[in-house]
Amino acid sequence: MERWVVISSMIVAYLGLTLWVGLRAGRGTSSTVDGFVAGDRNFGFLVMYFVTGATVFSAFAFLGGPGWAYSRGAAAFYILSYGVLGMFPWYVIGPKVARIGRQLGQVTQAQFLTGRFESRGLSLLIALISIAALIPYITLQMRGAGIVIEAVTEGKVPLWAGAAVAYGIVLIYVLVSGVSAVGWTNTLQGVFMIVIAWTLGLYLPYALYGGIGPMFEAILTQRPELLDLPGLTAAGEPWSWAGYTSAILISAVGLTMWPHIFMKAFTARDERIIRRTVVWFPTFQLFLVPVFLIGFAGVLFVDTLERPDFILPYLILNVDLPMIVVGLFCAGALSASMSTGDALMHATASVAVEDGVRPFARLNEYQQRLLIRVLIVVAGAVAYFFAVSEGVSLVVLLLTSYGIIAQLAPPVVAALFWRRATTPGVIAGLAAGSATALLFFFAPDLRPIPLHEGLFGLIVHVPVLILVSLLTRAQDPATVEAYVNPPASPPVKPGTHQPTSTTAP
Amino acid sequence: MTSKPSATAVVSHRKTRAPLAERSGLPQQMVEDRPQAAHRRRAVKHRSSTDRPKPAKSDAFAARSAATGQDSAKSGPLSAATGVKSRIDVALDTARISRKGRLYFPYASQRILLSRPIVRRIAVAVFLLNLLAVTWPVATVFRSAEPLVFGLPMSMAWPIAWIVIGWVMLLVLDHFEERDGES
Repeated sequence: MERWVVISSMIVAYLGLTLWVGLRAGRGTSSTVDGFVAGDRNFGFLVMYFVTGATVFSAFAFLGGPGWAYSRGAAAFYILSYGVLGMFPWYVIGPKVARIGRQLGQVTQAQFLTGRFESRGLSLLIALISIAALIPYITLQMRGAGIVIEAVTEGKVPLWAGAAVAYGIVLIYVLVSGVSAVGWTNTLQGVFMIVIAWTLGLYLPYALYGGIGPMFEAILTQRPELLDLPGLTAAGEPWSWAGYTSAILISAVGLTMWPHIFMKAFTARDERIIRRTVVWFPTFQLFLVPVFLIGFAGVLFVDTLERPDFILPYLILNVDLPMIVVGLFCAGALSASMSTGDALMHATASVAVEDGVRPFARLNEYQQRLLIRVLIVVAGAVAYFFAVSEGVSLVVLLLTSYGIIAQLAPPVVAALFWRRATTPGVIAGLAAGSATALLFFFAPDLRPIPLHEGLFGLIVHVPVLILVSLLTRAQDPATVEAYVNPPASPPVKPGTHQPTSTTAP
Repeated sequence: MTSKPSATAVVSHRKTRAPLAERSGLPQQMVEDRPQAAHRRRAVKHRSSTDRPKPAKSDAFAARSAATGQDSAKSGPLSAATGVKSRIDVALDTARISRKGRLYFPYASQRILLSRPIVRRIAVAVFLLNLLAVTWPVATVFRSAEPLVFGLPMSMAWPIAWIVIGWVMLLVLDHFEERDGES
């Protein structure tokens, strides 16, 4: 039997298993918006651990991580540096967000913010920012899945077909089971990712160089510039310390502000589970170590690769590996792509309905769930269109969106900890910060120092938020108290989704 | 005020078979053997954090306050002079007599040396150090690939070490948050 047929069979088996897990996941969930969007707030520790880890580490990490290590060397270590730093604040903020969300019936980030800073305009603004940031991210995941399938089947299954099959399955289980499917499939996919990354990360250096130490000694001899911080740029020039440091800072600030990660706070069974998830997140973060080892293994083995992100598939196909290993690699890469993609699609549709539509239109539970399902299909279709289109600069869009997503951090912190923050202050800060980030992105020559544009946005954002808040009337103390010092409350029973204050009358 | 058991008294009670409270001469509430204490801690640990009550005075302390009518903040020997309840007083209040008749302080080390606010401050300090360590200018000290650490370049081993340090710090922080109840 031909090699590509065997590998394709393994991919089909893996996708079948994922579909089965995804469909079974929704059986115990209520038929409510709370059930579809927040899993009846019933995720336990195991699921939360894998949801957080597998959602954070996407196809970008599984394919892009080795690509960065291969082409930019030590620059990739910024990805190692920001994860724990970004998660630590969530230990404090996450449980508080979950408690408030439970009390006020919130299921999205914008609902959380507009519960304190009541404004339908703010809700719409956050929805637009979120969707604009999420669509390119979904596209990247779809493209990653398509590329992997195309590569390992030697072109027999083209990118468009591979992406369509993988995300067709994602679409089915997300539509049927909602966030419960995301949770349980992420658990399966997270296990695959970790096992395969460590297996390949330890195997390839031994297969090609005789060990990890000998590999780095060889690189030190022939390409020493790759291993010195802060590494290289994409063009092969030395990266600046300002760029490296600001990449860590903006990534740490923005990490838990991504809607698909922030919203998972509303899915946890209790606050203790969120804390434990944060505590154990560093063990998932270490998954990057073998990923980078794979990239470094290619440095002296592959002379030049036009697209560095392909280094992992290239090594897999050109090192004489057993077919079972190649098949498992496919499962790992698809896991990385699909585990993030499903959460992104689900979050995009949920945000669009809950934050973009519901504040302006009265919808009952059935209509909300129906609209979310329709928009999941629409989000998938839009992302698929971009994924199969050539010439669309997705990385550019994604990098820009990170700078904008980080602008959601000051409002969240202000909502939870600053009594004097006001709605006009938050809107002004968000608008000023986002505009500044966009300005410096499109006109990089205007930057006084080569920092990430998102940091410039935050530098403008925070003073504007403070100043405008102090100049405007303070909020109702009861509203403030509900956020700054939320009382402990018994869990809400499944199916008792409460409308938020932003719902249209 | 109920007197604390002296070391001599504790030794003299070791070989008797009378009920523990009777042996120690302390109120029943103040006497709690190890299995009971372990069971109680397990029960607290498994209770949801959302419905856990605020940490309260220990049973023994509450009983003693009720018996003497003293204000809890002014009951310890050190606080008698200062008017403020010290951590040592708190540790003394939680004193227990074990099944073997030994006097022990189950929470003393945590209460005296490491209270939750102190651990929180340490955690914030560690993560600020982490931030400084992996960014400019401190990271420039560890920019070089050499020496190799466990086969990895120093520039890679440095951020990995901080992941491990951060993990350990989170484990310690979580231990104290869980033990002392919800903030």
